Amino acid sequence: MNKPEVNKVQKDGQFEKEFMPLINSLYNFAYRLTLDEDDANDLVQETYMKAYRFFDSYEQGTNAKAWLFRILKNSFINDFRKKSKQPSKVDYNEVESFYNSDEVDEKITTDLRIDTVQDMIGDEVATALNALAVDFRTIIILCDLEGFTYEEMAKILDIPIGTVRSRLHRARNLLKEKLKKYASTMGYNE
Amino acid sequence: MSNLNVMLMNSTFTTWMNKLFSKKKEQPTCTECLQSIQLLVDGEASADQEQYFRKHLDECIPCYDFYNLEKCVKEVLQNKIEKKEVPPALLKSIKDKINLRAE
Repeated sequence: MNKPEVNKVQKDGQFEKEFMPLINSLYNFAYRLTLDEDDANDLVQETYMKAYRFFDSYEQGTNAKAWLFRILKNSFINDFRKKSKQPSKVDYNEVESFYNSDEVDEKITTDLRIDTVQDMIGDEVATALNALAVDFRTIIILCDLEGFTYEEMAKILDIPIGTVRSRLHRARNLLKEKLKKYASTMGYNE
Repeated sequence: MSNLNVMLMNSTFTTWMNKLFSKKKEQPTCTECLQSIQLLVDGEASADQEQYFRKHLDECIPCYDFYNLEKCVKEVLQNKIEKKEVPPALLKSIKDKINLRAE
């Protein structure tokens, strides 16, 4: 009877040490995905419960952050997309086939000025980011807000590195278009 | 010489250079070359690629502008967007649930 008790204490100790310090990043990711505090709460809670349940399959000392982010992303896809208050803006497959096509006539926002972007406040940039379809938003959050490498993002999102690169490139171009549009309405470029 | 050979072995990179040099007077709007600049912005370029891009950026204004804009957007995203912190009630709820499972 003693042995399981010790294991349980050890497990909890390791879980606490490896996973709990990451909770702010997880919450931020959940919030940026769902754009809703209640949904973010549910998603983070579900992620930690799953992580605890499957803790045995986690190799200790490896990439805890990527492991948790992957669980959260999968939970989001499985549950939240279906029931979220936020309607899905774009069909995932449509996005992939359209934006990964080599036939796409690339439109690059060249007239967005650096000082315009630098003058924007955080909320304005966040609004532009939030206006992107969730797959594009996700890859920018992972890369630029959370600092994951391409290889880590490929594992979190279950996609090849080539798709990481192309999706990130598309996402940034779309974001620049949103920023440009926003800047024009605010008279930034005048 | 060996550096050049390594670079030429990378077919994507070769395609990128070919497209760039064959359309020197046009804007470098092909997806591949702009994706390659993205590698530099994200710190994902190999040493050879980095060396090549740095030199290229000194010579090509459209690529230089594109690189600087990409870098700027990345920095603004990193530094200006508010980082949401976990509500204390959620943290407590998760810890309580995990402890309950122990019993």
